[in-house]
Amino acid sequence: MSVEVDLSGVSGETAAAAKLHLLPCEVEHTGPAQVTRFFTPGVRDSGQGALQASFRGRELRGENVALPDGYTGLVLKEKHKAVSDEEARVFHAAQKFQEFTYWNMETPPSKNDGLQKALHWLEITKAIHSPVDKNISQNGSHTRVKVEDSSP
Amino acid sequence: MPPRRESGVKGKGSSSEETDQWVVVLPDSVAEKQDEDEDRPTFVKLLHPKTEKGAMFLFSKDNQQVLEVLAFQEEFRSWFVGESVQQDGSLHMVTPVDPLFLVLPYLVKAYESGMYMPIDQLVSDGQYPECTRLLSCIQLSDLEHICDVKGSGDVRACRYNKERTLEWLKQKVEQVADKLTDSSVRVTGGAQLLTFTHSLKSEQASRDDYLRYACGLVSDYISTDLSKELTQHMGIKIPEKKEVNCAEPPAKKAKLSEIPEATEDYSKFAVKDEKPKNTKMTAAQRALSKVDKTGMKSIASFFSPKTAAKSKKK
Repeated sequence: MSVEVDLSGVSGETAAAAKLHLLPCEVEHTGPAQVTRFFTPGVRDSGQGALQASFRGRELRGENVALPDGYTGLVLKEKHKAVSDEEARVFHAAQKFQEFTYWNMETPPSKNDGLQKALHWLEITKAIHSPVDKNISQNGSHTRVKVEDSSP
Repeated sequence: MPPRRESGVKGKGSSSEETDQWVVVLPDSVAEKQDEDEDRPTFVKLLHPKTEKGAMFLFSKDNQQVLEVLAFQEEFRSWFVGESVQQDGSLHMVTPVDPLFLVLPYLVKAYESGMYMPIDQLVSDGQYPECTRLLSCIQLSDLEHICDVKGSGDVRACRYNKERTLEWLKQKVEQVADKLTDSSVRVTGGAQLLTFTHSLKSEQASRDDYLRYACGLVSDYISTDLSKELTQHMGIKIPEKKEVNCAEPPAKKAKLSEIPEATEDYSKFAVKDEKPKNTKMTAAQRALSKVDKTGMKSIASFFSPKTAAKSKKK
């Protein structure tokens, strides 16, 4: 019951850069929608990267959020539902992104929004999981010994 | 706060809300195209060292790296992806995990037998069979951080070593504390220990504060027992909740004041206070409560002012 990821769809220059908006409301629908026809034309830049838009009569405040260096965004799609448990499930990377637009309701996005903290986590987590670089310390007899250079 | 941990592989038919589309963020190296003959990156379920339950992880192509999957999820969020709507507004974040954290539970468990065993025998699990993939993510030399290794060449046997592990974890904590110091994450304030806010003012947090916070972060990847030993090993004091300086948490106060009745009516709190007391009786107290107390005075009455004592007699 593992799930494989097929990256062939987003490799190379042909990769379609997706335009993503993270909305401050739940839309009870998954499927096609005319975003560029009805939503994006209303997006206004109110200076210094602050964006404004409206959705269903509500004012939205947003900003473009770039992913931290070293990270890539993907939209993974399962094209065919696996019929049985044995069948390997495959998710296809359909689109790639390096930034998306983050929207709040009335309040402009700030550093203390959950999303910013989550993105900051991407940095902190490196420190937790990168290998400890010091040698194994005093209390083991197996301290690593550097291989001496045998040349004279 | 760090994002929520995803439990379990989606799509085992357990949840009806599952979508067949995810928005994920992952390291460039993992998102690179694989060659035809390489294994694809694969999501699998592994034992999580802290929760001791299954959690979703990703192995990069050819099992070079293991990554955890966390979801940033807020209420009332959806995505517009190109010309479509995705109801599930979560952002899945796939980040590398030190594989040593994930093999540690197996080593600790096997330590009970006291025997040295080959690592591939140690790390095997009927419930999470994919855990054997972890072995290809680990350098043999890294294993020396958490166990004694005997033998040479291909024949190596390992046994968990607590002292080494604690020392390794200590270095981890220091590494994280350094990172936090560099990136100005606010770590002070007892009850807010695990809030994850940027300091806008330059508040002076001590090295201890950073270490304590870092220890909390590392403890998310080890068992509770080991976490306790780590705090002891490092001499970190976790402040008790009651010592918390109340100057800081405005969020909670604000919430309290939203309850209209609570502002004046203290009696309600008093009632609430008594309930847990009754349930927490010791065996002696329980025995005592069965004793016929008619004619007995409460000890308290000897110490209270006479007026109070009178009112009780009524």
